[in-house]
Amino acid sequence: MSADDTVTLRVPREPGYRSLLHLVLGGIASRGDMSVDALDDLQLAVDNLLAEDQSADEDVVMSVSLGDRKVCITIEALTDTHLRHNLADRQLTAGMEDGRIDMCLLLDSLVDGYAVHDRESGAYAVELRKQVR
Amino acid sequence: MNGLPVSGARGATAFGERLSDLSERELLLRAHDQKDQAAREELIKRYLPLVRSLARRFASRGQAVEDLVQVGSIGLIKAVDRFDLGRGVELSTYATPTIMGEIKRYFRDKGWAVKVPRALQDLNVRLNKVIEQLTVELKRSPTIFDLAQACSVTEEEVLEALESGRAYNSLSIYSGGSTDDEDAFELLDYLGEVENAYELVEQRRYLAPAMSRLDERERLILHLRFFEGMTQTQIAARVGISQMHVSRLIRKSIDLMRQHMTEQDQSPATPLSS
Repeated sequence: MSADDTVTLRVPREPGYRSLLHLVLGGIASRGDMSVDALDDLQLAVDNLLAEDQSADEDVVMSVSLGDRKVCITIEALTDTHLRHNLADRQLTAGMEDGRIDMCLLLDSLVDGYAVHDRESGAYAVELRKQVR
Repeated sequence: MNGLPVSGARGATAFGERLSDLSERELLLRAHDQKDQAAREELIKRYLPLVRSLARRFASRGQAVEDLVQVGSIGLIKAVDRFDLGRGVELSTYATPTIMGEIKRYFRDKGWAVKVPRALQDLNVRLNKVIEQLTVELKRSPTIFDLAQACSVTEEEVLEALESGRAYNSLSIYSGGSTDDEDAFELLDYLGEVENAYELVEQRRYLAPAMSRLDERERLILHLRFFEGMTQTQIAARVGISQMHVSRLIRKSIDLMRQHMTEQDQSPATPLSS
């Protein structure tokens, strides 16, 4: 797999298909010589994003690319507005100091960076980035 | 299974108006404030197609759809009885996770399970040990390639075996059983928790006002992972369990907390923040 090759997978939202996403992530992680720790972090991040996006009926579209010691995952067609605000406006997560765990804290711990991208359809995508160390 | 309390016979009120002409809100007000059984039954009847539609999603799971409709109807009745008009959401939004929850509970209670192939079970158990060994030897978390080499299998087989271990996680979460039983591999839950909590607004910001629901070790592991920034491998060494077990406990804890929030939300009497 050369740098910046991208694998895109579309699966139904049913949790039974989640393992397909895990396997694709595993395949990419394997090519990138990523540790099992790091792979588990990526899978957990994706699982939690999808679990929090309750309002969508659309298929899950996940793109994964590997390049320059970095894995980049984009989850498309997210629609949960509260999740979007939560991720986009980190001020809202000030509650984390009191011992609560929210999505921002989860993602901060599991990946090296993330960003929210609004799409013309009204949905949005979340991009997750993790370095291969 | 008891029959549904839907007679379908009572179509009009004492004032001659047809219940079927009333809005959902009017029916809810009557059912809740005036304890009007006919209004309640009309609501339930109106939402039976939703139950049927949700039950059909599980048609391939080996249970008769009609049985699932009966089970889901119990969830619908609960939803109608517990729904709070002040929430500002549709009854269908509130009822969907309640119905799904009832159907999933039915599968759980029936012990519905899919066996993971023995070879994958064995490889998973082996990987558990190999990850520990390699972590010590290499002084870092091993890669998939490392594991494949050490077990003399392909990288795809390693990935599949790791994934089968995750299926076993779900069993422990939904059965309430212990994750310590490393040999018990049954894949219980392809049903998942995603449909829950449609109506969460304020609470959904936080996955966990419910840390107290976890045991001491689970709380410690979450603290080390998300507040101290330790890796799973580091936590495994600190707590004295395998990395795979740490992974399972993290997932189980987060799922339990999310489940707790869902339950709280389905109970109108519960205050918004716990």
